[in-house]
Amino acid sequence: MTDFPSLTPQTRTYTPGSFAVRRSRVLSGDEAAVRKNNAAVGHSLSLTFVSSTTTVQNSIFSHYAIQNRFLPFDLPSTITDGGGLSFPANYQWIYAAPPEVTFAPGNIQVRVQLELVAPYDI
Amino acid sequence: MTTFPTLYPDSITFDHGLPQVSEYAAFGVGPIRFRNSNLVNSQVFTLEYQNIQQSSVDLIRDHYIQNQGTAGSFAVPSSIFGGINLLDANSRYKYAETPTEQHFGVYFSLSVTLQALEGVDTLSILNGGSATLPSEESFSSIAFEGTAPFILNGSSSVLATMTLNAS
Repeated sequence: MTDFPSLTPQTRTYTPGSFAVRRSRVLSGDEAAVRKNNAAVGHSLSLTFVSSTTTVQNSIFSHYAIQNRFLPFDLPSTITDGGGLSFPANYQWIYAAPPEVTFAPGNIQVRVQLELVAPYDI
Repeated sequence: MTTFPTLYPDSITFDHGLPQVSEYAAFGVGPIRFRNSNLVNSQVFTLEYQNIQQSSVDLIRDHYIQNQGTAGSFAVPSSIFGGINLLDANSRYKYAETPTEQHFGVYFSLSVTLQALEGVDTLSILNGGSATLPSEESFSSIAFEGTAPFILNGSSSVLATMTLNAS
């Protein structure tokens, strides 16, 4: 397992996990809800890295080439610094989608989407 | 039942919900519509918070978890909606979807979507209030149009007692 590169993102979008819930509407318009699990799943992080060189891009793509959507990994603290974020113990991240790059001379933006998954053995 | 944190959004987007009407149609018949309750429900509010601090984000994040995500219902302080005055004070809400946070260094932006479970009561209530009985005068008008029942509420005031004359 290789941790995500120790980079500092320019922007970060976080969506907390949600519980599996079955919501059923009754005739009056009210809703009955049944929660089906105790753990929130589906935490997601979207990160944008901006750099003037291809160094950041290369480190992310090298990491993605190994991990892909298959191998889970941990995040270094530089990714979540200042966000006050906490996640379930032993959960790890996978790539939700391939990283995307917008390339302009002197301005390279790399967008990464990550998804938190429950621990599992491979 | 919990209460949504009293945090005032920068903007609010909302719709006016749906009446609880079901429709029956068969060959040569209908459509026949049934109103299943007096409430117009399912108003969806999108609250946008711009450049707020982490302590405020934590309040909503914790409330979302405490509320079991989209499962539980809760109250929302009417002050959050400013002067909209769309729903009753005792309306209940659920998270329509998971809130989304955007982190920009020190400050945060947050988008929260709420759905009303008990919306607007569409009963027509004529309240006589404290008015004194006026002198008689000729009057001809279609007072009511729509779906019964209509409630005439004379209130508890003696002066506002309502007289229904069947003759």
